[in-house]
Amino acid sequence: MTHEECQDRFAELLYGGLEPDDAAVCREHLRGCDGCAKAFAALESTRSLMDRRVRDEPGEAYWASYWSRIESRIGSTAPKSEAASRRPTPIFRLPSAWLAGAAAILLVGFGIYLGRNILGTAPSPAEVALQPPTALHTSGEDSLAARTASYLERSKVLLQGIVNQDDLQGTFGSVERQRRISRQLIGEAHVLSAALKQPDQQQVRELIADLQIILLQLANIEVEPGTPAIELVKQGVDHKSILLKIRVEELRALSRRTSTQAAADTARTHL
Amino acid sequence: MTDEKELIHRAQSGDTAAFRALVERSRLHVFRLAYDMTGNRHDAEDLSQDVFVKAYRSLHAFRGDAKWSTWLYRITMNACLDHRGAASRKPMNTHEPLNDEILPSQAHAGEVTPDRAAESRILGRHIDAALGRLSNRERAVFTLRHYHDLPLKEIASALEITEGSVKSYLFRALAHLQEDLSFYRNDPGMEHAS
Ligand SMILES: [Zn+2]
Repeated sequence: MTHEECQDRFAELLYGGLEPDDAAVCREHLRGCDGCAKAFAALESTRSLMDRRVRDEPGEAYWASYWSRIESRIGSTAPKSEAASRRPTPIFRLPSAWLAGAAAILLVGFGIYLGRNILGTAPSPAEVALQPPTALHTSGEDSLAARTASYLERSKVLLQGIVNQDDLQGTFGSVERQRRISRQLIGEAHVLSAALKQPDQQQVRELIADLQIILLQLANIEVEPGTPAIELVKQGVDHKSILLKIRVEELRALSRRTSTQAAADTARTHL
Repeated sequence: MTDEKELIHRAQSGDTAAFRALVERSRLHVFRLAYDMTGNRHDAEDLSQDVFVKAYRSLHAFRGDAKWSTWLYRITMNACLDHRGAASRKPMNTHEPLNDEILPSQAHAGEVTPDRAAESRILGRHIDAALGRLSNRERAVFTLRHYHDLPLKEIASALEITEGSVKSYLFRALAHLQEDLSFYRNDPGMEHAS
C-alpha cells in the first residue's frame, strides 16, 4: 500500500467503513511508516478534541411543553394524504453555499484591498514609539514576551469594545481614536512579527497576522456606524475567533510564566 | 415498547397519540442535530419543532424504505440548511462567547492560575466556530458520523449523496478541523490523552 492509498483511507480507518482486510493492510503500513503514522495520530487527536465540545441543552421546562407546542401547530388536521413533497427538496442548493463562498471571498478581498491602501497611511516609527510597551529593563526574551502580551491585551480591549457596541461612538471614543489605535497596533505588529522568530512562536505570529487584517480594516473605516464596513470588521473578528485566540494565548503565556517561575524557585531551593 | 412501524402506520392514519410517541422518542436526536448544524441552542429549539411539524405534514411520503430516524435526519438537514441559507450573512456564533462571563478580564501575570472551566468553554466555542466554517456538506457529514454515530451508508441516504462522496467529505471535514484547531496543539494544558 502506498502512502497516498493509506492516507486516503484515514477517515474510514478512524470512523469505520473499511473492510477488515483493507483496514489490516492500512494498519500494517502505519506500523512501518513514520510519516503516515504521524499524520494519522494528528487526525486522531483532532477527533478527540471534537469530543470536548458540550452542547447547551434545554431544561425540563422546555421538554415539558414540547408536544403541546407542536400539537398547537399541527392542530387537528390529519397528515396530508397527497404528500406535496414525495421527495424532499435537494439538500444542498447552490445559492446559499455560493453566497457563503462569495461572502468569504469578499471579506478576504476587502482585507487585501485595505491592506494595499493602508501602506501610505501606516504610522511613522515616531508615532509608534509614542506608546512604547513596558518592561524594557528585563532581558530580551522577557521584554519580547511583555511587548507581545501588551500588544494582545490592547488589541483585545479595542476589538471587544467594537464587537460589544452597536456603533463606534460612546465610551470607546470616536472613530478617529479607533483608527489611530489600530494604526499604532499595525505598526507595532511589524516589529513584533520580525522579532518572533522561534518555532514555538508560530502560533502567536499567526494570531498577529490574523489581527493585522482586522486592524487594517478598522484603520481605514470612514463610515457611519452600522454600515456594512463596520459589520465586516465585526464579522472578521468573529470569523477568525480572534478574541478566543487572544484569550488562549494569554493562558499559554501565563502557563509558561508559571512554569518558568516554578523552575526558578526549584533552582533557588537547590542553591 | 411499541413497534416503530406500528406507530408510524397509526400516525399516518391520523392518530396524533402515535405521532406524539414518535416525537418523544426522537426529539432529543433532532434537537441535537439542529444544534450541531446551527451552533445555536435557540435556533435548534425552534428548528426541532419545525422538523416535527414538517414530518407530520409529509408523513405519507414516508414509505418505510428508509429508517424513520434517517428520514427525520433528512428533514432536519433541510430545515437547518434553509435556516443557514437565510442567515448566511450573519456569522455563526456571533457575539455570545465574547461577554465577560466567558472572557473574564485577565488579571496580571502570576496572580491567577488558568481557569479550567473558562478554558473549556472557550475551547467548546472555538470548536463550534470551526464547525461553522465547514461547508454545508462537510459539516453535515462530519456531524452525522461523529456526533450521531450514523454509519456512512445511512449518511449517504440521509443526504442523498453517494457513499464515496460521504467518505471524501468526511476526510475533508477532518482535515479542515485539524487545520482550524491546530492552535490548540502543542499545548500541554489543552492536550487530550485519548
Ligand atoms: Zn506512508
